Amino acid sequence: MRFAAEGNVPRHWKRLLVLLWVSAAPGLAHAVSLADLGVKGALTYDVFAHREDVGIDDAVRHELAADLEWEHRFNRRWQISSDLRARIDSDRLVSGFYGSEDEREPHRHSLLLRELELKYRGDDLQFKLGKQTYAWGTADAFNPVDLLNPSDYLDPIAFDDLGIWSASLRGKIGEFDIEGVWSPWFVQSRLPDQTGRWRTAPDLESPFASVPIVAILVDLVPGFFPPPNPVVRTDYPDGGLDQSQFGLRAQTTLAGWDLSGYVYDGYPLVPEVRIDGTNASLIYPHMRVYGAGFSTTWEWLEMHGQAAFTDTSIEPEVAARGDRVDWIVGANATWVPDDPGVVESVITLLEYAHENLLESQPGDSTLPELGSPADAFRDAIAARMQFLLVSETRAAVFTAVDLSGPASALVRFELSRQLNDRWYVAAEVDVFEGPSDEFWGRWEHNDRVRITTRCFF
Amino acid sequence: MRKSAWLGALLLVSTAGHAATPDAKEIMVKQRALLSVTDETETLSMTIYAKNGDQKKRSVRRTTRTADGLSRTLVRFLSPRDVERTGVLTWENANGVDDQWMYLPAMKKVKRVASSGKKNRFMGTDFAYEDLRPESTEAHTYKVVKSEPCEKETCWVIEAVAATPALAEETGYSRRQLWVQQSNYMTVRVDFYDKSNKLEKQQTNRRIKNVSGSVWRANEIEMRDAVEGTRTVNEVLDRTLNTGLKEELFSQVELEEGS
Repeated sequence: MRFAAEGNVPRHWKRLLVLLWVSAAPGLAHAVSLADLGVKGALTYDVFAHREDVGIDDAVRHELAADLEWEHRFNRRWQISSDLRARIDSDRLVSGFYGSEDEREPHRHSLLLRELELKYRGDDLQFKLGKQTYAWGTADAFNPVDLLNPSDYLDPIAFDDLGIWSASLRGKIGEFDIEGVWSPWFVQSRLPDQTGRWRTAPDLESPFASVPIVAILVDLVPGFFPPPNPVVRTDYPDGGLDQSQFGLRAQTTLAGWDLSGYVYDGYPLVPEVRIDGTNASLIYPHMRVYGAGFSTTWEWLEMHGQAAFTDTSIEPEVAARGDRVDWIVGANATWVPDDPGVVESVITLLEYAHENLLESQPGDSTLPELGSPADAFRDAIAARMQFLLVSETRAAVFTAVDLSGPASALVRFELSRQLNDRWYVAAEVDVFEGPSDEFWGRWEHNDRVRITTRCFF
Repeated sequence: MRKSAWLGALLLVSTAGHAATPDAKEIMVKQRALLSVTDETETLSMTIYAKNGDQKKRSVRRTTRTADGLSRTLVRFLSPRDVERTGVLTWENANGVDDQWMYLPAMKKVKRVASSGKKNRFMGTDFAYEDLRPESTEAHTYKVVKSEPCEKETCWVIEAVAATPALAEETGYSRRQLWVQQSNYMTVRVDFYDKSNKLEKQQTNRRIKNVSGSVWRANEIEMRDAVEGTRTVNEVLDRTLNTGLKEELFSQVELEEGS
């Protein structure tokens, strides 16, 4: 399963396979005439060139992904759609052909059913069943009310949301748009591989490499360095119907304001860490979250905000981090030059996110985060300036600054162009700055360039 | 005697001319009344011509519903793949400040668009978001500049400027000049002037057809960028009127879930 453990030959084979895919896939897609089958999609070829090798991870990683979307309408009311991703890479992030949906598995599989949705649209009511993605929050950097879908954080700065098997009902009551979601199977986010370049733990040889941290990592990553102490408890909420998740959103527009309210009942997508003496537990406390959001415009500004209160009183004996409020506010400003030249418009985003812990449980530890980018937004500023240039070219600079300790930051420069209806190219430079024990600074060795080529079909 | 006859005739022509040129606002209000329908769905083929002659094709469905004199419009891209399902929903408000949202399928999210975002070009075309909204007679002041022949008709040339400083800030134009046919109140040409009062874009409406009663429509609309040398041509492939579209079809739910 682990190519790295089997020597370099399989990785060479994988590189060869990637190259074969790159050269053959567009022709294959054309030959099979997928459009005639009602299949649409895109082939994406990515090259990630990092500053240096890290452990067994090469500096350069190639990835090819084919996204295949299919939709069929039975009649005016009923339709079915699917989104399948086939993926291969030259390194270790993709391993195995198809596996369980349990995202505790440390690697991606080559075949991922991202969504499969049976939809009924009545006049006033909509029902959807299947593997779905819910994006409820209106912020760009971080949405504290998006609690239903886990994410794949194997590459935590280029992560994907993962669909969840669920049923949803959406309808209008008075002026309110109401959507309710029930998901019978909890799935946690896939965390960074702690043996790879995106590890979040301190270097094992450093004096900060405490026993409990190692124990936690052992549980997260099968086959990791044997622990001096075992993890004493994990309570992954896979108890079936008894441990279902529920989500509810109500939203309306009133005098130019989009207002929304949220309720979520379920479990944290990234486990919390509880330390008792020298023992560690990975826990998933049952929690209830109440949220609210707004979005409005005022002259050239678009403003938005969300707040989510997490109530952990359902299982106070289990909860590690206790009750808390996560919130974010932000604004988008669009500037269009009166005399446009190369620059058609500039869109500036500024957001501030914060977490207020209302009470601190004994288990609220000082452990490093487990790799969820959400951890970087407990006290953070995010900013983005995007330049829309002529000929469908975009340039942007984005930064996320973690202020929860000594400042650390991710700075991203992007340049992209839609060449024509079929081809899209993009280049991205990611730079990490800050102390090595802070959220972004610890990945300083991962500064990289990413080149993306996409072909739509 | 001959002199007084000439003076009389001149006065008559002058008076008749004055009576035949109604107030510009009245023209625009009447235009809206004559040309508006309860609802309308158009499928458009958009061809974007780059300066070097390169072409891009896009297919768009535009749906409009008008109630109480205010319209709601949903524009949805049908192709190509890179923009498919992208949508823009606009609610016209009486104060001239619209609500506008955009749906980007890659993000699976509906986002509100700020007013000045309406100056932006719409998805790489030569149309700005604000060019796609219905003419808001409340948001503009109008004056008739002149009357002149246009094609085989006679047109009023009407100048439109933002009605308030706040609205002037929102728009990308200092003024527009509209050529409105006197026979059917149909706009056949619009010149857009930038903030420094230079001609920025020119819209030409062609293949004008009577589609129902007093309702006329252009089946080909060209927007030419006078500065960049690019142009976008919208060709109407299909149009239906007054089919009883429900208000729910112009909601954020439809923007997000519709196809």
